[in-house]
Amino acid sequence: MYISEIKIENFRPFGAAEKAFVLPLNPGLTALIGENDAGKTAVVDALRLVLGTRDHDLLRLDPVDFHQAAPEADRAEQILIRLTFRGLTVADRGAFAEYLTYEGEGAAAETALIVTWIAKRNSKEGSSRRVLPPEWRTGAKGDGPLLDFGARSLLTATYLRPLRDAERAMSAGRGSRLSQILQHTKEIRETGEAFDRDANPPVDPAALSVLGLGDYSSHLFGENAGIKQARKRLNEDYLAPLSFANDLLLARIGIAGGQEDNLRLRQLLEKFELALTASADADSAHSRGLGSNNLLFMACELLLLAAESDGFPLLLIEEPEAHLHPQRQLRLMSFLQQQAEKQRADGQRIQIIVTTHSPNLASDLRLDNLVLIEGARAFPLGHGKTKLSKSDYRFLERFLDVTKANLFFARAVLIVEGDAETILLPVIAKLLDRDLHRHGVSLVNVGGVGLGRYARIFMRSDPETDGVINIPVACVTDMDVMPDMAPWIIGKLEPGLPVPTIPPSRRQWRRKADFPGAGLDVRRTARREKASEQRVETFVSDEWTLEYDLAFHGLGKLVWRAAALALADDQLNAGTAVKADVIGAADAAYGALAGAGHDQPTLSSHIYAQFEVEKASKAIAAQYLAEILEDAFKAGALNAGALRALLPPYAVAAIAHVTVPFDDAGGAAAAGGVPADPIAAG
Amino acid sequence: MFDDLIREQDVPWAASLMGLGPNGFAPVDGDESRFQAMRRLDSVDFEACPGSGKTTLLVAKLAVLAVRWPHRKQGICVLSHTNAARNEIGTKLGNSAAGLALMRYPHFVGTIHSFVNEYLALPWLRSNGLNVRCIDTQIALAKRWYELPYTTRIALERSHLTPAAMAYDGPDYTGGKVGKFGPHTPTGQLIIAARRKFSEQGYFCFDEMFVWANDLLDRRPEAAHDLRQRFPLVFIDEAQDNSEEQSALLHRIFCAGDGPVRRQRFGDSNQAIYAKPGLAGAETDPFPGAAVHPLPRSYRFSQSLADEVKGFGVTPQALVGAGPPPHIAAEPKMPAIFLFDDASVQSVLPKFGAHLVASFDAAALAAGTFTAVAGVHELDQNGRVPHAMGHYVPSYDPSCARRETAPDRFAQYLARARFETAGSGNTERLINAAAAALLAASELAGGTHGRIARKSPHRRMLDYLADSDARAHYLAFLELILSGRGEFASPDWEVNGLPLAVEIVKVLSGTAALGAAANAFLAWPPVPAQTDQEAIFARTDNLFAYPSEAPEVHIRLGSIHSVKGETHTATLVLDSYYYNHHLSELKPWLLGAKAGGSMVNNRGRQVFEGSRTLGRLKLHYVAMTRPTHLLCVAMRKDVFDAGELDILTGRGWEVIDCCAAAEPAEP
Repeated sequence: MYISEIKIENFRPFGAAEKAFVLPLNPGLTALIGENDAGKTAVVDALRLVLGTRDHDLLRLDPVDFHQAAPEADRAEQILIRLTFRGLTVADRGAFAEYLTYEGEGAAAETALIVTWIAKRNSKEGSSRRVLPPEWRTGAKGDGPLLDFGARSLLTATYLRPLRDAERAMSAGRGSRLSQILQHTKEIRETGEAFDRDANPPVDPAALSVLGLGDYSSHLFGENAGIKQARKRLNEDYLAPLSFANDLLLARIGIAGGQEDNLRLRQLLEKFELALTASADADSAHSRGLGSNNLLFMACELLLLAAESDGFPLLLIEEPEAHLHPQRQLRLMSFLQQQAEKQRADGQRIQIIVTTHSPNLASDLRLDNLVLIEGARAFPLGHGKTKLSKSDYRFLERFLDVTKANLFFARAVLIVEGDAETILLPVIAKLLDRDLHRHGVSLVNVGGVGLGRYARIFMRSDPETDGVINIPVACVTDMDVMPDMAPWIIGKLEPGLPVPTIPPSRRQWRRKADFPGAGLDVRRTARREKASEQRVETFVSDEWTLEYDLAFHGLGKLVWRAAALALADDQLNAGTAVKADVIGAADAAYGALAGAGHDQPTLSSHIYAQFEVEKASKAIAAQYLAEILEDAFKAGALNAGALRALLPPYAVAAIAHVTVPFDDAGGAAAAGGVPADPIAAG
Repeated sequence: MFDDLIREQDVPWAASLMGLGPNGFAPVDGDESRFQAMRRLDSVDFEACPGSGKTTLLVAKLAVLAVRWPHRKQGICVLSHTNAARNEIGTKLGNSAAGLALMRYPHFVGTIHSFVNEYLALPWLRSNGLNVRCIDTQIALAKRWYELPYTTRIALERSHLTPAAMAYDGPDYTGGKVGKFGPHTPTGQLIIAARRKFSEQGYFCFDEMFVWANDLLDRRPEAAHDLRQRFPLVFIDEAQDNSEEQSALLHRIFCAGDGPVRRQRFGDSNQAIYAKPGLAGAETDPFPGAAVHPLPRSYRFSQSLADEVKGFGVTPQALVGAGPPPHIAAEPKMPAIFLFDDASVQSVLPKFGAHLVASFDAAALAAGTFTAVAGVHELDQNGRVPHAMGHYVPSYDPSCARRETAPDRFAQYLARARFETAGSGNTERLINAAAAALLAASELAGGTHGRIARKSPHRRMLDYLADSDARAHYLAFLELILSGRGEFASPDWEVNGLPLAVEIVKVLSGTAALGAAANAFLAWPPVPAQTDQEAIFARTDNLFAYPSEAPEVHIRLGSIHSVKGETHTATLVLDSYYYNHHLSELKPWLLGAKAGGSMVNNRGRQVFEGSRTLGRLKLHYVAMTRPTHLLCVAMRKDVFDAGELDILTGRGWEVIDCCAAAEPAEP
């Protein structure tokens, strides 16, 4: 049996009707991911309210838990949480026979358990009880009998809170979690014999059960000479003088006992504590950190959960990554996944629901196990739910690594194909007063492959019913069509040679002449449409590549200068060249080029040739260009408005898409013109 | 999973818990039947004679099981026929803390009907999107009946059909007692449409729940296995009373095919009597089956009484009379027969009272239970004397005694509440009976309230009437009922009660005028002509006090059905009439000329009595096995000739002639 759907109405961020929270779940492990305040904890708390938890830590419902649709609006009157359980075993169907819902017919016939938890706010004035006691209803419409307490207790979940204090949970003390866990462990209860004080021959301690050992030691304490002495003195020296002759007061000193077995066992187990050792040698107690203790704690809970033979095995973990370093996080995650696949003796599998902020964890899980929580809605990322194709899923399972996984935790995502974009776009955005960090934008460099695949994670297959993930995603990609004269300038063709015809040629590069008529627009549209839908938008470079477009639209001189610095990078780092000299030489060379009377495409192609022909590193040049721009801002030679006018429009639009729009149309209009040399050489 | 659940050392503990002392179930004179019955947990049928303490035995077993039961997802299922039997088990289980747990999840203790509803029919109907509002045969049938056009109803009535024709026995709403109006006829189609309409609105007859339960098992055969998983151990009390429908369904759920559950049935095939004449016992899986465990030892009556009555058993059991129990300090008495004629029929009860006063001391008269029962209790005034209880006691009110059928008039709701309140002075029953009756009236008038609700009827009334003027009417109405302790004289009802009730029902149902069904429901029934009689009978509770001016003994009057399972100090069995006079027909058994329900003919074949005679035997076996100390019967004097009376006297009967006493001054 597993929870196959969670529906929540009017609880904290979740509204009602079409604003209700609906989350379909698969058996096994599910990770709820998303930025803070998206509603992950509210989902876990909803489950805790309905199912209760084994640590008997009661979650109390507060009036502020009732949803408020708008800041001034009245709070909702009633919270509804509906859990649908499917995949019931025969034992499950038997246990919940009177509560079941029979669904479907013939081959599609299924039997579900639907539990609807309803809590009402007490709107009566002056009442001290602000929330009325909740009801657990059953049946598809909540019209079945109320779920009996005994049946409810079968559903109890194991819950591990975030930032848990594992050390405390595992230490001795009244009601310690360790004692609870041990008490439910079969081996503790069933190994060994009870203590019998009258046994002859006397007991062999090795054969005793845990409780037997406790009773044995209590017995020994009673026999201890020191204790007997103390008792004697108390009785003879103090109580006797205080007693009446015919009603003697007598003291007995011993370990409190005599109660029920379960109670004595619990008191005994509460004296236990759990600590980690480095080796199997039990005595080498040496303190481990929080993280390790956390693992230990989880191991204990899993031990209990896996050993049980009745009840519904649900494990809720908030932030399993807490206190764990990245490799441990991955170990833990794969262990949890294994646990979820194991079948218990009673045919049940553990269902695990975790919330996480860890890209490490997220990157290690299949998309099928991930649910993105955004804006109080759930977006499962599994097959069929997104616009990802089967091959996309296969691809992403291989390539969605830790650095890319932070896209799950962003308020907006900027997906780029190269190092130059990765370096330049954040700097440009910042200079345009659109700081990516401040807007919570995750920048993901996919390195030339699969740009659209990453973006399609955010595209729902059925936005009508599912809703749209309200995370703006911008894919930045190149048009990759050079101006007609460029092949000879950037060394694709020897001077004088004709452009080979395709076929038979298999040349990869394209020039504008390859796209007669509306061909260019068709190509642009095709690139855009790989991933442009819902909140995802693909921005195709206006001309050719980032560097060319930068040069083409107004930063020609600076790109040239950056390329020159990149070419001299080794010497500059080694101290054999001076930056000012390099810049001076570059500016001189640029001056000559610019003065040669080329048109803008030809000039820009010559600038771009620095990368293609001279093999300047695009990444290093991007770094220098970023520096140059920042310096220009510092020197006051450039401001946001002026810079925006010099930038290729697609880059500006991409930044606006993932942050906020630029409110004036000026930048875009100015970008159409081509200023000759906007920046004073400095 | 059942090994070692009931251990040898548990038997004395359970016996003490039941108040029988530690040796309560111990072997007596080499008879281990009760001890072994305690320990057995295999599938078996306990054939338990009257007074053998089978309910005590069942509860004792349950009490031990409750302590040892280790499962959280599986439970014990205990099925009874009546809510009274369920409550008895519940009360007795309540004596131990563990026993209380048996009344809760995951166990089930309740009637067969409620089990079928809770675990099969209701989940299935809910799953099909049907909102079950009300399971009440009368309301469901009335709603469906008045859905038919007037002319159709007239046509049906001409064919001697009643609203009962509106009940179905197939999940496609077909079947039922429709005479010539089959589904192929236009009228049949109207009937089916009305059944469907109100079923979809959530109104069902009690027996239709079995239709839906069977439908679930047809469509989802795994449901039976799920329930076997849930209830691996099933006890069925009073198994002899299972109808064919019940027996077949229970067999289908728990026994048919692979993996049957452990099932223990308790009953007495000699006491198989049914609520309505014409109902037959189970053909499927009849009680007792192949594995029988006899419990022939009666702790109720003495050996001499046992010898007197065992011939009435259809399958005579070797009854061992180990009674009477010691709580009444009196010796067993000789059985007595009261003889009467048309004129003296009403003097039987006073004579019986006098006989009791003569036979028992004051302490026994105060502590004992004294009853007079008749096989027929609905009186046909013109029937042959004695037709029913009403001939013996004209003020007898049959509606009070009928415990198991749903009341079909407002007055009956109140009558039953009065009967159940029985002088305790608690108002709860009366208030809720009045509220439930008003809700029923509203349903009949077209309102939709539903009866599957968690609140008491009174609370629901207060909710429904929240702010309307009718709330004041309702409270005034309750005041009226309470001040009269639930009794109304007919004119008083017409003047004071009815107008209030009508106003309330109008508001409840939201209708301007109540229909025929609701008006008939609210009308006060005509009172039997008895007002000239001396008011010596406490009319409301069917108690006969003797002597009337200074009562020394109270005799409870009722039908044989109503005293099933009871134990009395003395029981008077009155002759009554169904096709013939019951006891007169059984005279050969009374005289010892016949014994049992069959005989071996001269060809060595077993020949059974006719089914009507078998029914009479069972009915009167039940009646005659009630008393601990004194059995009396009352019959017409002209049934016997002198020789036969001598035989009776010779068999130890005392003959008391009422005829002379009633007509002292014969002209």
